[in-house]
Amino acid sequence: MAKAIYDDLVFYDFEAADASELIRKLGAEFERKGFVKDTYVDAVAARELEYPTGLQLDGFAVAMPHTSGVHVNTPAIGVARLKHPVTFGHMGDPEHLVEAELIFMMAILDPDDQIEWLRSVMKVFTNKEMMSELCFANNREELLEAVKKNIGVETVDA
Amino acid sequence: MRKQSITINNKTGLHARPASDFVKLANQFSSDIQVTKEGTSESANAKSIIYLLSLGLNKGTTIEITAEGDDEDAAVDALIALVDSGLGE
Repeated sequence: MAKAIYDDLVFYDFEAADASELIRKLGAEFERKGFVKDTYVDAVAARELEYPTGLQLDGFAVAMPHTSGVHVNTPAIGVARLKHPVTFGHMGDPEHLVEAELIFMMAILDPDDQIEWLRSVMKVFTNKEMMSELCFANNREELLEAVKKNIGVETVDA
Repeated sequence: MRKQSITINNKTGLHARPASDFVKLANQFSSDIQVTKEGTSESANAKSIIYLLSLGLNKGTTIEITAEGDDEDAAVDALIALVDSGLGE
């Protein structure tokens, strides 16, 4: 499986006014660091409108914006703990809005990786202990440790 | 109870977008609907995107769709037709 977690794609107290701004700001980090092409941000934003990626978990909401592999150079999952929640539509139920506090932005190249990554993050999302470690991280270092420990894909230090 | 198996045949498997369509359709029925990954004991509520994606259903995986309730036949037929159509790909 492709490597997924990079030190410099994990953010704490990330700020955005809404989902669109969040996708642009976080996507810009992927683009600046060469993980994605300059078409990635627009593609993610367009897909989010049509197929929202918010998920309501037990007492906590997340979102996992992404798009198809043609916009990606190097596969990666970026994680951002938001300073203020941002409204996303719910995956599979767009009229249900959620206040996402944790973002898993995905740059996926290979469709089989996507299935495996989704499986990995869903296992985390349904595990209370793992989610607590992610949700209650007090700073970027704690968040990074929790991400590396709990997201079950191979990690790499950038 | 009604059950039927089908192999995921779209190019990229049951990732977020096709899974969204699948869950949306499943939620139009009142029956309890389960998806089981063939050859495993792993199954998920077809109306829960989180549990459905937890199954990791890539291309070539065979699933069994089981429905129980007033509209079980319609539910299984509709979901089988959706997967059979290649899930929009």
